[in-house]
Amino acid sequence: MDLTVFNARRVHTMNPSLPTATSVVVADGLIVEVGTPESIQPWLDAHPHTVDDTFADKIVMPGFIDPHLHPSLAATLLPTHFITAMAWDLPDRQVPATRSHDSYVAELTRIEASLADPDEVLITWGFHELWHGTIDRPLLDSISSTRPIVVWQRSFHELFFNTPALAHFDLDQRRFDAHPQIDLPTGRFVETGMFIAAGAMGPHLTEPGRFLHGLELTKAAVHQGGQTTIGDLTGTQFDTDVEWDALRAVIEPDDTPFRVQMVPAGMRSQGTEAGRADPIAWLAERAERGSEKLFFRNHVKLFTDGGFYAQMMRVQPPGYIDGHQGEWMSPPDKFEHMARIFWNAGCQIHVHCTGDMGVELALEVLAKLQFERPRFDHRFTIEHLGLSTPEQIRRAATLGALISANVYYVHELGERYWADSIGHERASQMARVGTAVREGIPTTLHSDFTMAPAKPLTSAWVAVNRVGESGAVLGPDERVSVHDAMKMITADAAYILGMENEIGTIRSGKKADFTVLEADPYEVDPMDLADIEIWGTVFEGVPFPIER
Amino acid sequence: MTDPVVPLTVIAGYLGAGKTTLLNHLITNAGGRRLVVLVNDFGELNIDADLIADHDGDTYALTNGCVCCTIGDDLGEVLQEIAASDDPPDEIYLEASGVTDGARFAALLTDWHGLAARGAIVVVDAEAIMEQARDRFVGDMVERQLRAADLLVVNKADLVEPAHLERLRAWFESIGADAPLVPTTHGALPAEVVFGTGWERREPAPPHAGPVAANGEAAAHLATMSSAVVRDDGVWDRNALARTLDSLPDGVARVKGFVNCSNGRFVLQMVGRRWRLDPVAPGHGDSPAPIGSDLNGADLNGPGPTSRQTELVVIAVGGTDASSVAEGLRAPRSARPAR
Repeated sequence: MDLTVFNARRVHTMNPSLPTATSVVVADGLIVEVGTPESIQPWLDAHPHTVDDTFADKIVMPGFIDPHLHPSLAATLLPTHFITAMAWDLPDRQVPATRSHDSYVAELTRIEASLADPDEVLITWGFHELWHGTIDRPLLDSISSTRPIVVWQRSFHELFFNTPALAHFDLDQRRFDAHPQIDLPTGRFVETGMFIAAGAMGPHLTEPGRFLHGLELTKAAVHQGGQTTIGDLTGTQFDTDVEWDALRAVIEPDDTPFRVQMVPAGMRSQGTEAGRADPIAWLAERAERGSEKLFFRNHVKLFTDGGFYAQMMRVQPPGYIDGHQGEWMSPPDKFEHMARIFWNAGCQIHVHCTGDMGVELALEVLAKLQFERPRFDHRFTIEHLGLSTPEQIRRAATLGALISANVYYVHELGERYWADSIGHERASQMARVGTAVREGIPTTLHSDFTMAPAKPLTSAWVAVNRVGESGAVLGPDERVSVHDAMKMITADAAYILGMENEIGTIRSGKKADFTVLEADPYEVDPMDLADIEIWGTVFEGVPFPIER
Repeated sequence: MTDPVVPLTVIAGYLGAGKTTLLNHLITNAGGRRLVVLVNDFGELNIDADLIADHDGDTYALTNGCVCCTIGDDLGEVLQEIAASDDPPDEIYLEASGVTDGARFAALLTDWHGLAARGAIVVVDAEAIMEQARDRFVGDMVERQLRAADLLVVNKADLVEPAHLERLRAWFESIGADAPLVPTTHGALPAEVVFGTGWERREPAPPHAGPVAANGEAAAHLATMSSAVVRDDGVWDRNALARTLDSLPDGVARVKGFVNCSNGRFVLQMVGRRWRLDPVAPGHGDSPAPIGSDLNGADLNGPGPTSRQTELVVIAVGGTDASSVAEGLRAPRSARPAR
């Protein structure tokens, strides 16, 4: 056995039984021993070894884990032109923040003028009415009346087409005239209308060259965020072989320094009732496709209510300021029916819940299932946790549920939702991970990329500081400590994926996955957490520096 | 060439109300009408084995000419295929799933090319509906669906006391669910109600309309229906016709037939306030005479003794008199004579 010894300024193991160290011995992709140069000596005496001092002045942590993001969706979006309210640091470009209607129009105009090929379809993502005001087909036509322009709203709630785009994607048909969620004069396709439009764009979006390019960008983004394991919750976007083959082509090679756990959606998207005859057999059949780096376990994802960015979450009284109510993505009775099937088969169920009524439904169903067939260690996980009540968090703890939160909501939406959606009290307490930690619930953070940047340190920064768009703190009592935030992106994330025996801490016997930092999260000003430079990662013992 | 327009009716309602029982009843009592029935799941439909002529995956063909299919993924495509087929059915009945369709449910009530939405029949469990409307997860949607109904079928009426039905009537009114109401047992909706007219898709009730009363009042309501036929040699200016149609009184439930305009001959389909004119190709669209006998399945495009006049059927409800409406649909005298 040939050993490699990595020496570091400090190793934060995230193992409470040995919290810090300076040396890690690695062989064949596994951690052999963690300690000091003196304590590891017996191993070195017995085996040939090399010493790697690359990290001697750096901080080594367990490889970061994001248990909930969407590679296929990212691959579809990253090749588009981002015009976004927040700045984005992407592998191939920096996107500045665009925050007003006028600046949105100016930026779109600039992009249109910059395209060399007059026939290129211009697809842009990131539009959100709360920052960018109103757009419509005439406006887009005034930017170009010959080039197809498609505007994809930030939350995938709606799409806008200009006249050439409607023709290009064959969406100007009579049959859309009277669809209540398609408005041809404004070029606006909402919800069910959007699915029709997205379907029409499908072949363009999954065109192999484009999709592969998007996956390469996603791969770079995941690495640059310091992730060595990610969870893909819902699996493929369009559920095609083309997609699956592309995923394999990009993830499986040895130069991809992370692995992907696939968690398929247990119901067809949008909760359509045409269910599969045998969901368990279907899940098993999907799992057979897996490989070592792109694999399935006994996990499945279900949905309760709608999207958070689209204000489609189901909210309990007093509801929204404007009186609207969100939508169920699954009919509640169907959700319960499917959850029971997977519960009784021993699966780990992940449930998308954005509003407190969505959380309530999930907990009601969990309580019922526990009553019917008690399970220990079931790992039922509430995903996103947009809105919730403290009492629901306590109930979740009692029922054994876990939490995977999109805490980034607080930063991008906290202040907007205070002003325009649900008011300050509930907006400031969105993604209440502070309460989750107090209740002792294993809690993790995720990006739901591209809903948030694929950067665990950024998620940790939001969890610790809860700073909104303007820099003000929202919900100070829901902030967590740096240590808790670090656990959330390492050990607890591994736990939610059911992989805590293999990854998540730096411990003898686990995979040699590390994230190497230029500064120590436990030493810097907590406000600087997101700015810590990442040298790169080690994946199964092999170093992968980040090349920018 | 005119595409025949196939009427589409949505059957909606919360769990256990009896949608599938009603659909089964429809199929079994189609009375010679060729229906296509689209359901989410065959399992509960329980079609009598004797009625089944052929079964192929998603589709059951029945001996009485009806067809039953599961909806699958792309409802729009299925509906278009049916409408565009060489031998389209007389009517389509579509089962809406649960209460959570929301917008999808609304989308089903629009006029897709080749289809005309008749409206939504919402089936209600007489015993359970008030509690269902209080369900904290879906209560608001249950109520929304009731308000959107064009006909309320109060099923399992045999399981409740008349006093309960009275309470239900009052409760429907109080939540703004003011569609005609028909109590049923085992989803046995009378054919003249299902296939009849008078309840079809309504606009919001005009302020002067009276409340819908209880039980058998649906029949009484239907009894205030009147119909009339107008035949006219005159020719309409297209724009003037549009203005006239837009200002017909609220009680006009339907107008259909052929109308001659200065720019051609058209099929007119009007339901409530919404109307459409589709051009008729030469050689088609000669109305058979007489037109008045069968209001429901009259094949306006079939061959028969020729009549090149404007020929329209008007159906009105409540206090509105169909005859006077029909008279108002004669083209103004100054128009040129028909070609």
